[in-house]
Amino acid sequence: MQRNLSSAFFILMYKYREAAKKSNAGFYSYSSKRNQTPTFSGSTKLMKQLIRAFGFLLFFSFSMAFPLAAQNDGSDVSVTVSTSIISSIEMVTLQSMRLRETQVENERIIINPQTSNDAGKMVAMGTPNSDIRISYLQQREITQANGSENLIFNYEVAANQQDDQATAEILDNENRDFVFNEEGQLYLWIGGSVDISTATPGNYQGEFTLEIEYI
Amino acid sequence: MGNRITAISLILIFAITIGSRAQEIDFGDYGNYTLTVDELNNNDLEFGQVISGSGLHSIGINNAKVISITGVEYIDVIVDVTGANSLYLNGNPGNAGDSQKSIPFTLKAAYANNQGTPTIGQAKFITGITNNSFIKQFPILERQHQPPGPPPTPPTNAFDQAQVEETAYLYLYGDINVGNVDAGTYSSTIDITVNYD
Repeated sequence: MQRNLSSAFFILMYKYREAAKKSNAGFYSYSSKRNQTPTFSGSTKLMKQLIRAFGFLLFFSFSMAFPLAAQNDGSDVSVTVSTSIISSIEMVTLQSMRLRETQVENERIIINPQTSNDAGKMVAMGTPNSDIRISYLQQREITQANGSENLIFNYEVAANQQDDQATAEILDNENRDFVFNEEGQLYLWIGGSVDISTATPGNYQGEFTLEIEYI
Repeated sequence: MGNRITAISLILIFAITIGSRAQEIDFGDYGNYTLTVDELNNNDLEFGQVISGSGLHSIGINNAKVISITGVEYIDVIVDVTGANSLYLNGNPGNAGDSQKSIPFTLKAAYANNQGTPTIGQAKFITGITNNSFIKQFPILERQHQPPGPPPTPPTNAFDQAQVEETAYLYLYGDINVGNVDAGTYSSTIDITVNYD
């Protein structure tokens, strides 16, 4: 750019001088004698100096105003910053499991989590449509309230996105990955069995621990 | 009289065209040098799965997003980084200002331009990051412990950039502060532009 402008300027200056030579008129007085230094009148001498000064300065100013264009384009890259936000999982017990004498069958109490009305019921709440994994201990002790006797309770859990016990799926080691429904809920029914053949009559209590994690 | 007019003209034209200029030569302007900017690790600056309301989460420099800058070792580069102040739900900047749908993000950065493969241990931390944006100038290869050499010879046809090429690394990392926001995917973009000085 700068080179083009500078060249254009000199071409213009050259053409102007040539035109002045040919016309031999105006303020530029030129001797036609070969090898003789051109002579100028007083006023044209001043103008010539001005032209030279402006010519130099114009060239100089072009140089300053139009530096060599950079030939190196910048390089761009974009980086995405991201995170996935999930809601903390909450669990609410809707109904505790109930053990009753009427459930005894062959000296075992059995509560079917898919069919029994005595099954415990819980709802887990988290991020809608998120994948989760459910873990729980299948065997836990239950302890006599006014004594020291323990019984082993074998838990069984069924889960369903819908609030429908009959179609809930039984959890096992191969089937413990579920998905929260569109409202971020998963329903759980807790049942199990306990052998009471050697049990001392009385009240028994125990805890059931269930863990849900996002996957 | 003539000299006086010329002197006045000189002053006028200098005043118009020059202005104030620092005494600096931008060597990058006078050669056809290439500059390559790349992502060393192609993953996002990813904070992973985070629970709503869980507060501050950080990605340190050891897990930073690394940008490689490859060019002529003795020329400075100007790195211009512009990032958003927050991550937005579904990446939508329209959620800016909505505390339920945006997560404050604090950008941190460093660069390494030591000889050989740049290392985190020798990284220089970039200070003065305002609104997750900054401009930083540094040579692709840090000045060695010796007096500065003469200005580089302008490249000719025989110039082989591979002989004077080095790579600097830019590390981007930072913090997010997760309030009680809606669940979902949050993101925003950091734009990086690198030019020779």
